[in-house]
Order: sequence, then C-alpha cells, then structure tokens
Amino acid sequence: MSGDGDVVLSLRNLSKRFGPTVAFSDVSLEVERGEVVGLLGENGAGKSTLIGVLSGVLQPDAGEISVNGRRCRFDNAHAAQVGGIGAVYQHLALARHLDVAENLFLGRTGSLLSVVRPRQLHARASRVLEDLGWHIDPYRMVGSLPTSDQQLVEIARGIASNAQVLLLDEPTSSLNAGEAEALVGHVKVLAANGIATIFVSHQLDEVFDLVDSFAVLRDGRVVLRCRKEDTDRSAVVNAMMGTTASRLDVQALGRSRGEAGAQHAFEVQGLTRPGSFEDVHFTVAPGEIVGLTGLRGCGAVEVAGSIFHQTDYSGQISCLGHPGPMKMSDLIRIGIGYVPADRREGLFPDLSVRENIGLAARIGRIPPSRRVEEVMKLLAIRAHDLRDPVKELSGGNQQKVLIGRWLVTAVKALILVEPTRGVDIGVRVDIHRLIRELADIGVGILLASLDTEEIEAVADRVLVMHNGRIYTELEGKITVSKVRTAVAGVASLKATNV
Amino acid sequence: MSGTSIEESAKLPPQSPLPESGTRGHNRYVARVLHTDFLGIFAVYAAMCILLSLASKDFLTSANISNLLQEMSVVWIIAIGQTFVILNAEIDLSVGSIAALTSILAALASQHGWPDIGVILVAFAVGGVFGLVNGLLVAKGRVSSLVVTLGTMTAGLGLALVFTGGAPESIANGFLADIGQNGIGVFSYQFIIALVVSIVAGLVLRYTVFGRSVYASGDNQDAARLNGINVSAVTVSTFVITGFLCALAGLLLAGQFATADPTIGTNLNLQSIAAVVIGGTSLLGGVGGIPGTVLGSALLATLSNGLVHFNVESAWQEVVTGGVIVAAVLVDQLRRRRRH
Repeated sequence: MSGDGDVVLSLRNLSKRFGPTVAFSDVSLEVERGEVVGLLGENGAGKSTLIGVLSGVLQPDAGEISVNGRRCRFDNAHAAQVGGIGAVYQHLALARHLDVAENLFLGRTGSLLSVVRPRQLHARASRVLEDLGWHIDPYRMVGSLPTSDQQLVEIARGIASNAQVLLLDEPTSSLNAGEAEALVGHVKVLAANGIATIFVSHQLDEVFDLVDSFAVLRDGRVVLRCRKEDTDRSAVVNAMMGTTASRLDVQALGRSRGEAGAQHAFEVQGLTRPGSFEDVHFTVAPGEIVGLTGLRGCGAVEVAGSIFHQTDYSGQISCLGHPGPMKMSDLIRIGIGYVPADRREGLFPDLSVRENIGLAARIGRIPPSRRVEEVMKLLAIRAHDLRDPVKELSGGNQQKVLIGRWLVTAVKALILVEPTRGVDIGVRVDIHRLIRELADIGVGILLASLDTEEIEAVADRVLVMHNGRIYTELEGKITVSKVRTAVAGVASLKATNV
Repeated sequence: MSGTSIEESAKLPPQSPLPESGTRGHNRYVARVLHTDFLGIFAVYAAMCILLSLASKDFLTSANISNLLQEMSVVWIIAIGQTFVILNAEIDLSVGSIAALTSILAALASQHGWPDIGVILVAFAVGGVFGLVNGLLVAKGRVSSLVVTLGTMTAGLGLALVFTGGAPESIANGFLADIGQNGIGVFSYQFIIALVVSIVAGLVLRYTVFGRSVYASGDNQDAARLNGINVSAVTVSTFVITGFLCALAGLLLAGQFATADPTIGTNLNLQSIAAVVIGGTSLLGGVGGIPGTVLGSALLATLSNGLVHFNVESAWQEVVTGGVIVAAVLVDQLRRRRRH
C-alpha cells in the first residue's frame, strides 16, 4: 500500500493550549501517501484538538503543518480543504434538508455571488458516488438517508474535495457492525488509490486490522509512533493508558453488601408494547448482572427503557417489589437508577458537573455535597473545576458523570443502556469494573447492550432478543463467541421462518 | 454479522450513469416545490376563494381583485425579505418599524423639496443601515435575533415618533403617489413590483451560491461553517436584504396614502412572519421558500378581504387572523413531528 517514502503530510513541533490547559504540545508526525494511521488515545489525550487543528477549525500556537512538502497555514476549515485535507467529523456536519449533491459540494461552489447550476452539480455528484461505487441517489434529501449513508456522504465529501489526507474522527460511532465493516473496506480502497487516512478511534480492535501504523497520544504528547509490524495490541493499549489506570473502590462510599432487601431488583412479566417488544419475561436478582442483547432493532434497548419510563406498555413491571406503573421520581426515591444510551437524554449540558451528579440525590432528598466529591474522586472524573458546565467535559467523562449520579443516591437496582458507547478503552474498563463492584454490594443490574464484548465482560446471565421477543437465555460462562452464535442463530432462525 | 462486506460492494459494476438526469432534475425540483405541504396550503387557499366567490357577488369582480392584489403587496414584499431571514433560522421583528421610519423620512425629505432620487436613496439608506445593524449584532455580536430586532423595532418606532412628533406627515411627491396609487389595468404598480421582487428572490435562493448558503446555514450552521461557508456574511446579507425591502415597502405605503404614519408598521411584523410560516417555511430554518411565501401572503390578504365582505368588524378580523396564524404554526409542528 505504501512504503515508497512519499510523505504527504508532515507536522513539526505542533502545540496548542487553551488558557492554562495544554491540549497537546510538540507533536511531530509524518504520514505517507496511501498510509492508514490509527490515531489513538484516551479521552482528553488531545486527539480531537489535533484533528481540529489539522482541519483548520483551530489554529496552532506553535509549529508547522506541511502538505506535500509545502508549508501551510489553515485559517479556517475552507483553507484546509483547499490545502488537500478532508475532514469527516464525529458529529455529522451535514445539512439535513438539502440533497446529497448539495451537501457533497457545500461551501465549494464558489463565492457567494456565483451561480449554481443544479444539473451540473448533480451530474458531478453522481460521478463522484459512482467512482466510489456507492449507491446513493444524489437527489435524496440527506435527512432521509440512514445514518450509515449519511456517514458515506461525509466521506465522499472529503474525497470530492480532492483530499490527499482524509481525517476520520471516530467515524464508526454512529454505525452498526456491518456498516463499520463496510467503511473499513472503503478506507482500504482509498489507500490503494494513494489517499492517506488518519483514523481516530478509541476502539483498538476496530482499527488494528485496518491500519498500517499507529500514533498514540497521551496527555498531549505522541507516546508511540510505529508501524504495525513492530508492535502488538498490548503495547498499544499500554501506551494509551499509561500507568495511571485508575482504581475504583465502591466500598469507599461506605456501602456494604446486602443493602438491597427486596427479593427481586426487577421482575417483568408479559411486557408488551406493540411494535417494539412482546411478551417479555425476566427477573433480575439483587447482586446479579443480567445482559439483554441482540442485533440492532431487537428491542433490548426499548425494553430496558420501558422499565424506567413506565408508560405505554401492557404486562407487569415490578421494581424492588413495587408494582408499576410508577412515576420516574418515585422510582428514583425507592432506589432505581437509569443510565440512558443517549447522553443528551440524561445530562444538563449547561449545568455544572456538581449539579449534574447531585441531581438524582436531590430528588431522593439526600444532601449531595460531600458524596459528590467522593464520587468524582472515585470515578476519576477529570474536570478543571466542579463548577464547569458538564458540556465542557470529554464524552467519556460525561458518561462517568451520568453513572456517578446513581452512586450518590443509595441505588439498589440499576438499568444501563449501552453504558460505554462512544467512550475510550480506559473509561470502558473503569465503567465495567464499576458495574461489577456495584453488583458485588448487592445492586441488581439490567444491562441492555448490543456490544457482545461488553456483555462478555460483565454479565452473569444473558437474554438474547430478536424482533422484540426473548429467544434464548445463556448461563454459565459467558463468552463473546457464545453470545454471537446465539444472536446469529436467532437471527437466521427468524429469517428462514419469514 | 450483517451488512455486505466491502469487497462485495466494491466489485459491483458502477451504477449506470443517468442520461436523463437533466429532465429528472427538473421533475424533482417541480416535485419538491409542489410537495404535499405546498399542495395542502394551495388546496386551503383554493377552497377559500371558491367559498368567497359563492358567498359574495362582490368577491370575483375586477375591482375587488385589483384591490386585493394591491392590499397584499406591501406585506408580501416584506415577507420576501422575512423569508431570507427565517430560512437562515433567524427572525426579524423590526420590519414594520423600518418600513414606518423610511416612509416618514421620505415624507420629510419630500417636504424639503428633495428630488425623487434623493427621497428614494434616503429611504433605502435607512433600511440598509437598520438591516446592517440587525445583521451585525446577530452575526458578530452573537445576540439572539429575537432580542436584537425587538430592540431595533422599539428604537425604530421611537425614532419615527421623534421625527414626526407623533402625527402623520403628508407627502408632496408625485412620483411616489403615482407608484403607490396607480397601475396597469387591474395590476397596481405595487403588485408588479412585488411580483418582480419575488421572481428575483426565488431565482437568487435557488440558483446562487448565496441562496443555497442561506438554506445550508439555516439548516445546520455548524456544518455550513465547517465547510467554509461565510455564515456571518450570509446572515448579515439576509438582514440587509430585508432592510432594503422594508424601505421599498415604506415608500409604497407613503405613496399610497400620501401620508406617512409612524404607527403604520405595527401589524406588518406579525403579518410578514405569518405569511412566511403559512407558506410552509420552517421557523427552524433550512426548509421552505418564495413560492410558499407568495401563497401565504395571498392567503392572508384574501382572508381579511373576505372578512370585509362579510362585514366582520376590524377587531374581530384581527382575532380571526391571529387564529389562522397559530393554526399554521401548529400544523407546521404536527407535520414535523410526523416526519420524525
């Protein structure tokens, strides 16, 4: 793929700080034509800021960027695009109500006073999409496309700008496994055509097979830069996490085993919501972690959500022996906690870290102040100041805040939906450890997750769902292959029936 | 697990090129203009016209039609500007005040014996400056357009009262009176001007980079900025365009009534926004356009014209108009909810 020593992008001694905070310093990096670089690092390591500087959204304080040996200054995103750098942002930067063709050439059709020719624009767009072999209609409204196709439109836009270097900032965070796999294939094709790619990710497994080399950032510095042949997984993970992997100790919160008195944490019978799930039965005992999994659209996420949002269902739900339907505020009072998949559903972005953590406790009428500090220390939440708005934290730290909220209250039963989606490996390990330790002190946990590795890491028992029904239950030692086999089996079984 | 692998999809033969993409593009555009929302409003409007012509002998007379076309024109012209602003996901509450102030300054200039061109230039200069102030405060000062234009609305009205001492000013300008009061056949000059403005605005929104950038930055401002669109320039331009169109409307009003009344603009704010929203342009930006606004203006004007035929008191007319506006916004909301 590469190796002819043709350097397309070169960074020398690049530094960027925000006030007193150093985002990264003295970063030097060379990328060759057609090379696929995995840019890895924990939340807050400086990846996103580096991508921001490369794509012209932010300006470096010192150092220089060269493309094809020519020194460049990117004052804005447009300048970086002209300079040959195409960025695909983590949060899709698309105009949903414009069509595919207009999005492909957004901001690239000349000055504000020039004329647009829709026919030419669409013809150009279909040429670009044909060259890529992607079957997307240039006339379709972007908002009406599935998320994965929107992601492809973003990538096609990067390529349509004649990018020589493509920056992919966590491009798979909104894709399912099949779509992510397809994306990886596209990157390989681009590499074969000489386009260099910087693939930002926190999931080492996702990039390991794809990339030619690694660049690992930690605390704003490049701590590892090597070709894949010269390293292995554990070396990369160690470089990412350093030696500072935080230890969690729930016991430090002064809680003891067996605090939950009820017979069942959750008990569900004949739970049905037409169109979402049907006739679901299960129980979760105190101290037990029950995984609810399946393929996307299987209903696991909806079932978990309905236990906290007790509206619009038939059947019976009982939480800690209290029969539903119950209001959310009452559920919190009796000791139920809920961590939604979408962080935006649970966090108040403009309120402080302290208020966000103390919120559930306030509903439960427990004075929060001391415990909030303890929880923050326990979870190693990195914030400059507890009074900072929570939106200024990195994604992983926001996720910790969301979970930490329930440690402040005397939570006895917890519902978690995709608790580690979009967080990096260090935070993921922390959260999994925390889930197990909560179970150890008697908290009953329902974990709805489509991530089979996560299910393997924490679940005691697994319920596999398909089309809104529970099809199989797995007990004993839970392994990824066991779960995957069950999920695939259920899916194919269902497919042949229909 | 699921999904096709890349090797598979990469090997597929490239999609057949679209030889008929030209005609297809046009059909799609027509389809998009005539989407169900637009057709829905059009059906409501057509039904309203049929009912009115059945109920009142006076409705379908050329005198009334001519009258109706004249009545709708001022709101219509302002609503065209408002469409640019709302498509860009902002709002302009100062349009009525700008129109009133420009008509008063035009009146005062004409009383001092200024030539026609001077009177017109004063009006456009004032409209442009107001638009520029609005635009810069919103784009560069990052103040919400609701607050900015609420402020300029009040300040503009205040200035109008300062210049006149509260009483209407008479206008001594034959050219403005001619434009404001006469026309060609049933078509008043006001209507013709509004139609030309609409056609130009429609073409600008559809076929210029500026127009498409209004849609893009109204739909997703971050995306527009990340893709190198000068969002500030777009925003300032939409307000300046609106300022100019308010000045045009102010001149037409001054000519039509031969007086400039400082309070003439109070209804224009809500009516211009209502015309845009009834026409299907989303208050969240990025969706809608000029054809809808034309229809919305016609619908509002026909409604008040019809109410006059039924001898509805003017106070009750306002109640009905207000109800229609709220209903239009409600329908917009319901539509959006269904879509998601």
